[in-house]
Amino acid sequence: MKGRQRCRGIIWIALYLVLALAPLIFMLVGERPMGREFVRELSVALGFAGIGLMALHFVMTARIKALKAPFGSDVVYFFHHRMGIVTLAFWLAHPIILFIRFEWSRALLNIFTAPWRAKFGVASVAVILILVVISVWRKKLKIEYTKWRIWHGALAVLAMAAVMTHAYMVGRYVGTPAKRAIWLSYGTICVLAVAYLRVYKPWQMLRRPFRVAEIVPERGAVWSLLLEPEGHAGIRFRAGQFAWLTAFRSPFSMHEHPFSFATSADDDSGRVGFAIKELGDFTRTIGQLKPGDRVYIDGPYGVFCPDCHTDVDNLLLIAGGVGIATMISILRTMADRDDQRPVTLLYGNQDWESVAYREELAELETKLNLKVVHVLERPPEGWEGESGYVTREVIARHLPKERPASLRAFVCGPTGMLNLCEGALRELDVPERFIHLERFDLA
Amino acid sequence: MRHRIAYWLVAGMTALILLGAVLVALVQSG
Repeated sequence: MKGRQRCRGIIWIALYLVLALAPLIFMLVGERPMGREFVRELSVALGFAGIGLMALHFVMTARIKALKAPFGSDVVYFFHHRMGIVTLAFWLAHPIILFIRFEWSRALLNIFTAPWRAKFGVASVAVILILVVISVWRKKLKIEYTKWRIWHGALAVLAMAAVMTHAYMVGRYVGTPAKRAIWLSYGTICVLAVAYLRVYKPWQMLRRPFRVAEIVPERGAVWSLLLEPEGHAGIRFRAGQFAWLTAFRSPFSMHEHPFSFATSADDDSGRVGFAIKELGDFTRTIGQLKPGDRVYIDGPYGVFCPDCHTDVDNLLLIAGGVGIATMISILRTMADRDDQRPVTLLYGNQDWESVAYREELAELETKLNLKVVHVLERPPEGWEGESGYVTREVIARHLPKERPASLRAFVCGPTGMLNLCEGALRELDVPERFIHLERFDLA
Repeated sequence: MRHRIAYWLVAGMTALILLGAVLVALVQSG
């Protein structure tokens, strides 16, 4: 992380902490209601802290570039996922403490007899519970990604609206106009974040559409999608970054999917390309795109790029399957720049026939200071190269020996492979800060 | 590395907010 980005990162973290703790501070500032016993006040404090945390989730997921740049999108989503569980715990702790300590409070669970303020409270907890369950177990519950995203957003808005109504109707600690205004500002943060992500950004995408120039099938059920800007200069990105893509639908439809750029970052024509593997409901339809079809892009995002870091003189790239999309972009960019820094690419695939871009990689080996090592799970007869998975032993055999201090590792592939490679690289004395991982799964 | 820092941030922030809630409850319950 460069110095300026590090400063920005620290500022964002400090701001997060202030906004997360602010609801608790507001409880003590100005006019306060009469104190009650500790357990009851603790329950209320946890509830208020939970509301503050919930509002911050809206900001974290609004794809604000300035917020994501210091950390990388994958880390922001990682933080969002973990803090989501913490938020749920706070929301649950509030009623559970009351139910355990005060018998009378259990009657509030009866939706027929409970007052409206309690109904909103119960509804908000039920909604956030559903929200977290469908998010953590989405794949097990077989919920399609696009449908899940729509439900995820809708339930979050519903939970926030219900809990704010609950807090206002109870009225404790939000009694004065000043405090009501402060709480309203938390609601406003959520509304602004949703408006930014779901209205402003799609509108921007609508103004800067792209058209399919080429759609070419590659090995391994991968499609090379090349897009050209329609009436604008296109977008600039760094090799290794990614963008959200909307095809077949309006950018307002919430049907966008993240893909790494696969073309050279130094292509001045404004054209951008992606390598998309047929893995899910959307990607299986990508081959139906035709030249001339309209596609929308929101990006670039991510810090998984050699250009985002300083002192990168010796590159170790490790790709699993379609993780090659990112790496081919890095290599194509290096070729355009006649960049002769040493690069080693360890490229894992199931079999020789599913190795996407293998001819182009062989050609790039002649142009660049590049060594490509194919690692095949099911090698063909007579194969003399590496076989099995990209293990510690495989990495050790091909770890560049020259300039070890300036070695930077970039790993992109399925989660299991990333964890394996991260552990192996650390065992091989590659400093942790020089190991960069790109996780596919943002959901 | 970045994920490890994120883990610590989650743990640290959770601990701080919990501590804050306990302190507020103590002050309020007098």
